[in-house]
Amino acid sequence: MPSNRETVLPLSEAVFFILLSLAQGPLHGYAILKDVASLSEARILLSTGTLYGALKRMLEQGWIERVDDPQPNLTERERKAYSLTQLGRRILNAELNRLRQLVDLAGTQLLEECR
Amino acid sequence: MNFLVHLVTQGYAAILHLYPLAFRQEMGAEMQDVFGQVIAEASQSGWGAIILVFWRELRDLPGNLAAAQRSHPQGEFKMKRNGFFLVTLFVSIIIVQIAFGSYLGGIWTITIGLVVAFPLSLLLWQARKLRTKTLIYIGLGVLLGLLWPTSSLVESEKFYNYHLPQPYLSIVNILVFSCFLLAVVMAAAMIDQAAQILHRWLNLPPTKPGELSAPTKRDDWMLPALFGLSSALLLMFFHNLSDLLMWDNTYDALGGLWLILPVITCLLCGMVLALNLPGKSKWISLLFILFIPLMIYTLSIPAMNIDVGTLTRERGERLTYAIQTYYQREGHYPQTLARLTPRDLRMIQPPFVLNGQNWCYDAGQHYYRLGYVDREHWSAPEYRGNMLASAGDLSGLPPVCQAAIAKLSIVYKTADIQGSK
Repeated sequence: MPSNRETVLPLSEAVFFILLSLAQGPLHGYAILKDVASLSEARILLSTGTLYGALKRMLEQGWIERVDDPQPNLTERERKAYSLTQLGRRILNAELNRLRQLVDLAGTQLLEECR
Repeated sequence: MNFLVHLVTQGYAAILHLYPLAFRQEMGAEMQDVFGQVIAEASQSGWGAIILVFWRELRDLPGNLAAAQRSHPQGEFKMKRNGFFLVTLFVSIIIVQIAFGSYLGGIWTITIGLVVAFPLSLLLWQARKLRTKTLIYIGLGVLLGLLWPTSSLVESEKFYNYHLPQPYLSIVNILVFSCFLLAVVMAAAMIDQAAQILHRWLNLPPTKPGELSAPTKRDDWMLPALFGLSSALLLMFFHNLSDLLMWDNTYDALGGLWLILPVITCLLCGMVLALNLPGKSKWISLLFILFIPLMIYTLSIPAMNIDVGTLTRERGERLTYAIQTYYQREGHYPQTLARLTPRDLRMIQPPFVLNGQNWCYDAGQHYYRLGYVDREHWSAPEYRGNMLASAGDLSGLPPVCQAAIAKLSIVYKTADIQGSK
């Protein structure tokens, strides 16, 4: 299901970090949890409920897709990894641009005040 | 630690059932796998880390469930059920926080809510679905179990180990003291089934004269059995609670705190009945929401305010009167108190200063002495033998209750003999 980039932004912090985590390559659920904790310096500790709720919504919206897990699987069950789609990457880039604009704007404003 | 990991994993599996079926089928197995990995990692940091991981799941649960429900709308009944579990969980935690908050830390109040109220509500939800016969057999089992009061259970060192380290002792305490709540849960499950049967029965299409419909035949004995057994379970529940409150007075009394878990359980049972019962039979839920909590409160006031010394003396006076009646009739004092029953006394009620104690009774042909082991306060290290009544020549007898106090000194290693003849 294609999404309109304008309407989905801003992303929630959890979704932003999940997309950021998947930008490096496909990851399975547990690796995403660990990666999000590491990227956010343990500020965002996702519960599995939040993670899979977000993954499900992103799958339905076509931002991510299921792929074969590139890492060896030690469990009996077949494990799937999640990977960013082109749409997901565009959404992430749009969010990054939005944040960059905000930072630039704030920086300019503060510089003017200092002068 | 393994037990806690197992408990939390099972709890998580139960929580997953709150999600819509489609969501669960697609994500459930994977969520369980990942949760298992997170818990395995947390277990290396101790039980606190495990509880925190589980707490994180619970904290996010309402939002996650709401989001999942929005994307996978379900039938009305499942919405009700999920709503019930959510309300159960959070109401229990809030009530326990209010009741025990000043005694325990926040994490403990959550644990108590989880360990007691949530499993009980899950149990009730499942018990309703049992076959009627199975339910009756389990109910009979619970009823038999209640013949052994909780106060006797905790007095028995064979079954109760006071030397367990924390937090296990607190968890065992809560579980032991919650056992009698099963009576309410089973009674609610039985009333639920009985009301369903009755409702079906009353709403049967008219049958031809002389023709018996199948449910009527089958329900002939089940309806009275379900109603009778549930009444018996509730009576035993009240008896057990009253006994527990009286027993509590012999120690550092908790008073009204005892009522919190029974009341939560009754409210949960009432909620389940209100959700589940059809039509006007929903009114039966008021039994658990209003009537039983009111009964609990009414019965508890005298039990909580009882003075153990006065109660013991009153029981002793009845016993003394019976002994004297026996003497006038038989011409000698009874050798043992058991001889007084059933003619002079229906039953011998024990002294109540120390639970589990019996009267100190010595008697000969023309003398007797009746006493009990007393202490000034529950925490007093010294016990003394108190004589209630006597007659005849007592010279040469050891101090009253000497043997009982010697036995106590072995058990508690604090007793001191201060008897009087």
